[in-house]
Amino acid sequence: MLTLQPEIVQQYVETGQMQLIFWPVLNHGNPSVAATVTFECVGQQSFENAWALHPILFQNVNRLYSATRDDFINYAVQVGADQATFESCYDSAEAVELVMQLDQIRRERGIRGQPYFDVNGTVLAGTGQLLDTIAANAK
Amino acid sequence: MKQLSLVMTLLYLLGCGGAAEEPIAVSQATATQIIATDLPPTATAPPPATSIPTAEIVVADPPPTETLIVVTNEPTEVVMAPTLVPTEQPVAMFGRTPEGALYMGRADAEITLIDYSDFL
Repeated sequence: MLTLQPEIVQQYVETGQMQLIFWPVLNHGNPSVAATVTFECVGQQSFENAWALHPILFQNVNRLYSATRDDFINYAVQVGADQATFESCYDSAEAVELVMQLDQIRRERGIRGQPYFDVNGTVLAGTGQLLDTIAANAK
Repeated sequence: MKQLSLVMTLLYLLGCGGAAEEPIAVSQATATQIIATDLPPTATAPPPATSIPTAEIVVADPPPTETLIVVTNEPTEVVMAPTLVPTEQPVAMFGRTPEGALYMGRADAEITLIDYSDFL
């Protein structure tokens, strides 16, 4: 999705044809939770900053396994988040609970792997048919 | 002799009749004098008399019409602005789903793409 997202955003989201929802999948333990909480806490300050952080986290996937609290703070500040407000959110249980709830809903929907995509109700495993399915749903 | 005196009397009367024309000549002269004396004042009076009223009309008329146009236009512009803004404001590019997931794009877009992904 990291490689396809810029094209999808430019062609469909920015033209008003698509709503793109990021639904977290927590398949790698605490590093997954910490990265998703970082995305959530930046989003509590600014949705736009959260979506600016979204590709940065994916680009640094190999570093996230061993990332520390300070590393996630640096990612958040890098996209414009207020550090004190972010730290307060990052250290709270509320953000963790929210991302855990979203992950539980994902399981209840039958999504067992990642990446998975739902295009107007059509569920796809992987990006293989993603662009074609999107195009078929576009007018 | 009487006839002669009658003739003289008639001639005298005829002479008086000719003199009776003199007042006519005088009256004509006075008529031209009246016209002549009336003209200069009316000739000088009309220009200021006509220029002053027209100046007053020109100055007096535009302000009322201009203020009326401004007054009638302002309310319609104020009314139109709020009606145009709401049609564009609902287009929110970012937000949260009811469950709390973050999204970008219009909530009423024809395509909804849910990206189930782990950052790792």
